[in-house]
Amino acid sequence: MRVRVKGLTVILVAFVLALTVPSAMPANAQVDVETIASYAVVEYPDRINFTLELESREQITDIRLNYRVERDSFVDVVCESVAGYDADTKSASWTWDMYTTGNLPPGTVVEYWWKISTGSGNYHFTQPQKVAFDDSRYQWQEISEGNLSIYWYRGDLAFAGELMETARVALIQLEDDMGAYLARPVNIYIYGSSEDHQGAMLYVQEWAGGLAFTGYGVVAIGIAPSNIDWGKRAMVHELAHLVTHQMTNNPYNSIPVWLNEGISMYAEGEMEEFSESYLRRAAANNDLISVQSLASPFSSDADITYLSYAQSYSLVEYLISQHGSQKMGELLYTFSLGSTYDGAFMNVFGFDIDGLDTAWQAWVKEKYSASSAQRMAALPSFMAVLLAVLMASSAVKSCRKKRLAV
Amino acid sequence: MKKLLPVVLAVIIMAAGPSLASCSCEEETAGGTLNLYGIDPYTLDPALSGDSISHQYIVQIFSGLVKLNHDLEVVGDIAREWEVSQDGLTYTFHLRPDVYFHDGRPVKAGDFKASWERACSPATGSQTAPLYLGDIAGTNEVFSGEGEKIYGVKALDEHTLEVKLTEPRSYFLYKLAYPTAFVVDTENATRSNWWHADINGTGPFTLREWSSGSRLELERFDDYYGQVASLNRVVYHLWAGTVMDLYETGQIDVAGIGEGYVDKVTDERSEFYDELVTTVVPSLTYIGFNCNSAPFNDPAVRAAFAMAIDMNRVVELVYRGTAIIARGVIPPGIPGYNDTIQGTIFDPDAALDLIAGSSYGSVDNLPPVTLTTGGYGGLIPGDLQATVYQWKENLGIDVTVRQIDPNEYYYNLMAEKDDLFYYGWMADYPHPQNFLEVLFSSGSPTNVGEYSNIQYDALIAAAARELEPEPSMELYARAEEILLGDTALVPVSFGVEMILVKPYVTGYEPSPLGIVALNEVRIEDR
Repeated sequence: MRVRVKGLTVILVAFVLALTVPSAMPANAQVDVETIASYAVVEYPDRINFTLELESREQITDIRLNYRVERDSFVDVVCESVAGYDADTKSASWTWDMYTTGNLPPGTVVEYWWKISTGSGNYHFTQPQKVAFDDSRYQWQEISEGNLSIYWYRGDLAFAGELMETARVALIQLEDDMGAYLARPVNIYIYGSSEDHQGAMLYVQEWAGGLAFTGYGVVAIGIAPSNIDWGKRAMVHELAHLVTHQMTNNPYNSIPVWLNEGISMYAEGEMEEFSESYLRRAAANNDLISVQSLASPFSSDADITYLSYAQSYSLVEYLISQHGSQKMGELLYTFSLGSTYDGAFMNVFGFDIDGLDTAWQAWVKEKYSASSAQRMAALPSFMAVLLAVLMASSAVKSCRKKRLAV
Repeated sequence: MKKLLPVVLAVIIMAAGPSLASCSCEEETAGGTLNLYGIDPYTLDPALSGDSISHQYIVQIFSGLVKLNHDLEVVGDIAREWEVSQDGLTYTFHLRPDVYFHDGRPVKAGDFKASWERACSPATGSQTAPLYLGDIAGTNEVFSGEGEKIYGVKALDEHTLEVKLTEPRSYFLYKLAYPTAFVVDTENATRSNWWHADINGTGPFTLREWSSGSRLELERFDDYYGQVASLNRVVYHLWAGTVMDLYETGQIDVAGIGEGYVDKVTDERSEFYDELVTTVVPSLTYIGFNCNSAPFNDPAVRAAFAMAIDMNRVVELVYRGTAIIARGVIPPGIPGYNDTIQGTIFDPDAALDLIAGSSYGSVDNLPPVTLTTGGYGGLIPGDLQATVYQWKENLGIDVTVRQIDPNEYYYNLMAEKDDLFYYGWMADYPHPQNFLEVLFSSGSPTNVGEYSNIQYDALIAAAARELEPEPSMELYARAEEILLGDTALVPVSFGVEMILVKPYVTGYEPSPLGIVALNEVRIEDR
């Protein structure tokens, strides 16, 4: 395990990179274009500003920024944006507004270079540079072990060490359970609070406390040192998303959201009481959400989402307990080849999504028999209201800092 | 020309997870406010607009001589009636006398002549004018800069406009329903960036505010000559967050649905099911070939690339019911649609044989292949990703994707294209010419792939001159057969649009071409 401080701003990093690369390498050596400076400034999480300063004896007719994001992909995509050129300042710039795309996760590396066209029809490419989309608003510290790195800024080394140990054990457990280990390095960013985490993401539901950026090997979670018990569960949850993604990744589609979330919930351990209470109540009142609907992203309504998570856990629990973990492995493998939802379930279990819905609902209703709900209903009305309020506030407290994977 | 945004832009926002930061529901007033999600238009100048995003705003602010009704029939708009000469060359439009620009100035026939001359002027830089006004006598001289006046257009009096064509065109009236032919206040339009700040249109709404990246607001125009809007205002919340979350939380009243949410909204047990409106829209998504340069100037290579894609699998797995597999070029809903076309058969071995028999002899001898698409940030539509993946799997060819800014993609793809391009086209009017001629005839400014076939061009020209529907359609059918036989493109999908509409919103009914007349929308008691 090594520890270091990662406090340099990306501005400095970018300038250093610019100073260390040679001037533009002309495609046509007879053309005189010289790069004075090329740099990128990150304003996390909103934008990256790219700037090129150059000298040229020829008329500049066009300047393009080319960039490529480092992430898992089935396709090599090079982006190209027309940069505005100011002849007076002899500079060009282009801004990647993250509101148009959703923000990259912290630490994502973007490789970029410029293409400069001149009036004579020649063009130049500058040397590729890299900029990291770092959240430099915080003074991050880092600990690493193997392929796993944790970045944090609140709490002491023991806090980070405990999280590291949890992550390490979780990955071993996931490897044992799912037969998969993470092939790529994983960077875990621990924001110091739920609020800090929310402020680091442009598009995130307000109850989400953790996000797994599966194509990037990045997890971002808001964990206050005082809330480390919840944080450890959340970290396992998000790591499980990375494993699930690796096992099912294919160029056609994603697995149903409930399956993805259910596996992560299951990896956390036993379902928490507040989650179970949602499930128990919905089962008793016949208010369960259909499995088909749960294949889509969950609701912005927190109560519906809590139930969605609980059902997701229960569905995975049902599949594993009633059909075995081997079948679950077969299911994930089938998805990795590219399959419709109905096709994958029919192939592995012999029933489609509606069939699963029917079987699971019968199972869960049997499991959470009406008796407990009846007991709740029999409580004096004041007590019922009080209990509901307590449960709701407890749930909100927990789940405001709780999970959602991208 | 109504180019479609590669769906990834919308998908990113839908999938990136949610947010709702800056969007708050507008307060209710007498006629109510309709809250919609939107992204910034690329232009609000009718003479320039050629994309479906810009169009959705422009048709609320401007108007023209004619429009298409919900049955896609041409009906009068500013023109109350018209006559066509027996030879099909002269159209005489009689304008309504009660039409005013938003500043109160009455619209006269001369305003149309001036608007069209402005649209055709090289200084305006319209890419759409040659397509939509190019049948009018005298426009070529203006396009080329030889003249400033279109001699084929005359204002006979304040409310009578005569338009002469160079040749009869069965679809000419359809073209006049396109924004390029809308009337603008040409004095207003001489101001710099006028369409961003100070628009003087004739449509049912005025532009009250446009703050890029934040908000675009329309306000009812009370002196509109047609059905005056019930709504007081329409507020587009630009880039405001995840569409579905905005809808669920009541911050917008209508939401477009991508494949990610299809399970939820099509579930009869879902609360959203009754709010779902599904429309088959006449749009085509396809992979285009640059037929004018290597390696795709070799028809065998084009055929091999088409044959190496299992498009059934791509469409089924990626779109998940939100699109229909395309086997031809003309979409359902457009006369001439042929549902018996078999399309290219998936056969990777035969594809490799074709390359072996091509001028290249082997995959190893092919030059590097690059495909052009639009967007930001490197995320691409799922169908494109799956297609490129299959080329790698089935042909062993790595295709690099070059993703360019959307505005370059929309308006400069002819110059920007690489060897392949991913493209979408929504019908402007219900006529096969809008696909077969506009996208693939020699010399068409939107024939991005520069496909050229003399026999094809002759059939298209003959079909255009033929005013009788049946023989005209037969000619178009033969042309489509040639196009597919030459593998000028790889058809991917025809469009299906899914939207959710709140129950208190009535009249929000997209036309078969995807346009909503917001002046027909009402907000009932919530």
